[in-house]
Amino acid sequence: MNTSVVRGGAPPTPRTSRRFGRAVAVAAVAGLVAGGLVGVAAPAHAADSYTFTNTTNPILGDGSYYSADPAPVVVPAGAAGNDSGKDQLYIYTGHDEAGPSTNDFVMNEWGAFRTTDVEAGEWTHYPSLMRPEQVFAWATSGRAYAGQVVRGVDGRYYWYVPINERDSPASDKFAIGVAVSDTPTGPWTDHAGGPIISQRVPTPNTIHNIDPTILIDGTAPNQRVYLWWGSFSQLRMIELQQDMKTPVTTQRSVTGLTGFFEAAWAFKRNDTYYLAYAGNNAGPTSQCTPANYHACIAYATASSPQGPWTYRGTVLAPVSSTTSHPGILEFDGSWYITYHTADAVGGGHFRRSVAIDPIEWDDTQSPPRMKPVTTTPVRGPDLTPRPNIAQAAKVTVSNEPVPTQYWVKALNDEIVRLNPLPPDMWGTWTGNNPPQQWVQYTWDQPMRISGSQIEFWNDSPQGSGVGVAAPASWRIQYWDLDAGQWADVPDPSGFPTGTRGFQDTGFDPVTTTQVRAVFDASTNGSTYSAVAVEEWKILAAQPESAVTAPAIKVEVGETELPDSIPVSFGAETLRVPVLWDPVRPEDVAAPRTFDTRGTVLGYAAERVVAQVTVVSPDDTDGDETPPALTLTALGSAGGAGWFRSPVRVRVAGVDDRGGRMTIESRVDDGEPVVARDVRSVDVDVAGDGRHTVTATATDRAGNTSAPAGLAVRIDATAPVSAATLNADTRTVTVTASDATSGVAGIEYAIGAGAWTAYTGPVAAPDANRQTVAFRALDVAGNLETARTVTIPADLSGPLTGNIGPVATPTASYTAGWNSVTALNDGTDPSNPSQAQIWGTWSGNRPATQWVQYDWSRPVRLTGTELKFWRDTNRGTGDGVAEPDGWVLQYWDEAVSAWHDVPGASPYGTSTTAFNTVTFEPVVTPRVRATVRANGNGTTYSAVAITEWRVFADDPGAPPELPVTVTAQARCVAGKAYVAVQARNDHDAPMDVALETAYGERSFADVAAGANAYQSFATRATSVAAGSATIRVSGSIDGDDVTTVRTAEYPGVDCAS
Amino acid sequence: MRTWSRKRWVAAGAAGAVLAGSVALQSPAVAEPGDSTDVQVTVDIEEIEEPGVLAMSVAGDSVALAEDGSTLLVRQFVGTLPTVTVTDTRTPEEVPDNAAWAVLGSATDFVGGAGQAPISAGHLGWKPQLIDGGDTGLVTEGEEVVTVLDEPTQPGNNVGLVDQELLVSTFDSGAVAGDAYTVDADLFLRTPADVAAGSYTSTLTLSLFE
Repeated sequence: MNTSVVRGGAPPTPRTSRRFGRAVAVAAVAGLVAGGLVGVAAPAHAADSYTFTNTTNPILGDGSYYSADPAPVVVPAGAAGNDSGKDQLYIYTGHDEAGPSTNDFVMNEWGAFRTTDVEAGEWTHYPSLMRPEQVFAWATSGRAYAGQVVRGVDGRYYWYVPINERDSPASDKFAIGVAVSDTPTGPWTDHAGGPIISQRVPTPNTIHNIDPTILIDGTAPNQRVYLWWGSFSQLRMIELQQDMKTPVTTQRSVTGLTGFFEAAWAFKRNDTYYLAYAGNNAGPTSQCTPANYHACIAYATASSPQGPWTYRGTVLAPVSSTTSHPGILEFDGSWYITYHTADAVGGGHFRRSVAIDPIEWDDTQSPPRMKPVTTTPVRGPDLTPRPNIAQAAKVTVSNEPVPTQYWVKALNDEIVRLNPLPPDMWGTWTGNNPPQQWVQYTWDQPMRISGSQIEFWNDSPQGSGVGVAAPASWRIQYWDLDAGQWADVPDPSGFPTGTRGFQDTGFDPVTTTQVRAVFDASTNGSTYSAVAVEEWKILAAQPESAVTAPAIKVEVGETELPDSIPVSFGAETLRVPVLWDPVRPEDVAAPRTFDTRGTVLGYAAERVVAQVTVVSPDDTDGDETPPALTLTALGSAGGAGWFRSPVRVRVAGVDDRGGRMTIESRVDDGEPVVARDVRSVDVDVAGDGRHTVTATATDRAGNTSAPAGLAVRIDATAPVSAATLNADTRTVTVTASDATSGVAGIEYAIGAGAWTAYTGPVAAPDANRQTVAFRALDVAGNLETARTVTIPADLSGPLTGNIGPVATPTASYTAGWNSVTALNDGTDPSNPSQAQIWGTWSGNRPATQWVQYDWSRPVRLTGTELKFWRDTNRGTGDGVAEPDGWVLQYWDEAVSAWHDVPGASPYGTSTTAFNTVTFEPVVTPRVRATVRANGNGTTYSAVAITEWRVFADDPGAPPELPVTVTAQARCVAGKAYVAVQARNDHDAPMDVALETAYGERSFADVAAGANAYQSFATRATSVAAGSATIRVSGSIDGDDVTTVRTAEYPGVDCAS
Repeated sequence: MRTWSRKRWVAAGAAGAVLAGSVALQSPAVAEPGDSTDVQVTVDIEEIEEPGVLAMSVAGDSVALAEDGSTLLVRQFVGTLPTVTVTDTRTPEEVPDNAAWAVLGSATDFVGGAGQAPISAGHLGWKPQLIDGGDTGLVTEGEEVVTVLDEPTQPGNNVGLVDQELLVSTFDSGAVAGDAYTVDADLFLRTPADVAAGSYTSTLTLSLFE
């Protein structure tokens, strides 16, 4: 049993511990309703069993019953309950009863599968052997998660299961109970009369007490009993007495299991102890799983049940369900792993089905290792004729590395789930989302395309600027092979942005190797939502007339057929990949002719039939003609002859006699590679730069072709740009560099505006805060992922009204799923998403929290208002509750201290209306709202605010004379001087006074562009750091203005 | 920081308004970098050669102070420091980064010509006057230094020319290279009214640093 998503009954209720928690929580409510419709629980007993035969996985795959969390055990011949005369394998399971669109574990009972011969596949299914509330008087119903059955020291059967304890006051009510029976199929009784493990017994803990696994070690009468359990990355272990329930030791944490998440399974082979478990250490380089909603089965070994444990890698890669769960044992002389998948008819992440496959051991290592499991059945490609060609494309995306909850593979896996979890889609959500994202498909050869189907996913509406939303707009571009650049597809039917079902786009056919979807993220004007796509299909154009496969000639023994055939689209003929039915050796054992069938990529009308002629390779008499060679580069074509990916060069030979050849090839100055009995070889070329592939072909008569060569240029690396903000002029300067093909250009966009070619510093269009996005393009066509830089608001003018939006917000703490920028995003939605509020739920919850606004200059403030948010009642000490109170403080610059604003009107705490406070005007560059959390006497609730406004009535900062000031401490002849310089950056003369602790100097009428300078003697050998004051007086627009500046200088010691 | 050039001459003052020039050198003196003599000398005049150099010259080698402005309590003798020229023929590229030149001056005690008690250098003050500082504003004369008989006019500046005091300096040699700058200074000797009459001589040393 295992998952990264919300387990409905597992408190504390996660508040979107990841981006998808909210959606899951909603689904859980639906699941409870559906569960209620199941009605009265049927009594569980073994008599409901039935027998079926199935030799492929899942064991029961017809969708009639979904089973999860397999726990196998061997019941030996002659043991109680087994009078079959053969050893029996029981696989105990949970029962997944979630509806097809429910994202929660609906599990009310346990059952089992039984067989005496795994290969024969004759199974007896016990759908309902035990329900928690029927055996354990202290249990709630439901939540029948992963358990394990073992034959105890006394020969009886003990079933350790997670139980949701009905009357527990613990924050997490899960416990472990143990049932006992004389037979493997019951009837079961409560062996301990209560939990043997919980957050209260035998000693308190704070973990999620589920997923028990048991190991009985040693031989009679000295057997020892070990129990491991735990989830959410916490594994505990305890030793029990031979009574299978009484603790011998206290519980201890188990370490050394890299990436441990849950679902531990302990077993012993020879002298080595093994712990297999579900791991969720994720990432592009993880040997466990690329997406952290998935799990691999990893394992560790030890020479003792007490450990220490040594991590040994992955035995089972992530399966089709997000969760994974191992059960490993030896049966009938063979080792097996049982696990579950979403592969059954109608299956899903919450409708799993148990599978079984052999485990193979590598006994050359010590301790012996399990080889990675090859799950069965091995899935071949889908041979159904269809227009979609996305599944054959290589996928690249704008947001590498993709956040680990998503899985880029989902884009073109041709699987669309009713209730997708993050790994079922590609997405871009991070804490800071750029204005644009893209997905690109690349095929190895030109394809003719005319349509697209895309399925968007969202959890936020368009225009919210938060979460994941359908893009504001998007478009499809293709690589124009002739022009060598991206172009919009011609005459598109439209680019709809619905989030229910496929969004269809048709366009005039184009021939290309690459296509991309460019998404302009939805925005609220300041922040951008992320984008998520469950599936994106590209539809091939269909030829006017039926495709016929040319006749194929192969040599005796040659089982590989050409991997493409010509397909004509009007005057244009493309070589399109084809998947042929496998050719068996007996088909080509002797010269003959036969028909074979193949599926042409993107050709939807039918499968094609080709006539294959098998010829003898021995006919070489009089052959003096060498083969002809063709070299074709396959890769992501870029501009100016560059490729933007590693390149595969197809070296194809044709011999006049029709036989296979020997092809010798090499890359640059590398070692030649020789391939015999081939018609073509693929040469991989990688690495940015210029490369050359050369090749020769030799036929069976020994005729060798002249060397053929092909130059390949690769630039697969995007350029890198950087922006520099000039805060004074409020301009952004962007520079870019590219190591290989060179920078072709830079683009920028202001706010949600259009992308514009960059020609020089970008100036803010008005006094508001601006977000400038920028990106560079190289000659090869690599487009950098857009970056952004923020130009702060210009606060120099008069300020009135709410100036929260031009403040920089900070807070004492912000929960990971909330946003401190929600405070001043200018929006106050009636039903805000978690990203649209500031909140503090997570971690420890102190008695007070604060939020703060900073402005770039002191502002005269007169009032404030904010609205709180709640999801929990007062007095609970939990959740987010309306606070006890709050106060606004301002930073008193004169004394460098926070003070309450004077003369404040009462502070309200409403969560439904703004709480408005007026006060005597203060002039300050920053204010703080300090909130007193509500509590229950022991703990405090969290606090949350949807929007916070601060009102100004400010005449504006006086104009300032532009002057550049510098102060330095210098040594001259062993004595320290303070040198002060002021440059007149104004367009008219100004008077300058330089003031230091060592003297003052005035200069009248310093000309524009000229300086005032003096070195003031300290008459000492050293000077401490200090500052100089520079007063300049001049005229701006006819008004006399005096500007005072200071310049810091460091200390200097001239004696050293 | 190193001394580029040092020039020394005599300023003579005499109670009773007697002027005495001990050494007279009529033509301007130019000293080369590294010259660090410490005696009253005549130096060779050489053409400035490429590459450019930073050099200092003084338009005279003696000053006689004359009584002017005495009061009942203080006798004052004044004169003008001969014009000091700092010439920098370097190009900005030849100037080391972050370099800044400065001319400092200090005086010896005034020694009586007839065995009178000496007058300490703390009684000699100056007020530099910039004659030609260019247009940049980056060459500025030093602040006034007053005597031990005065109240300070800048923090701690009533010390006289006992130690090296700033005559002229630049903020940035590189920014002012390729030009010449001139400065002189009002000199004033202030003594108690009961100072012994007679002729006194002091030596004022100017040093160019960068």
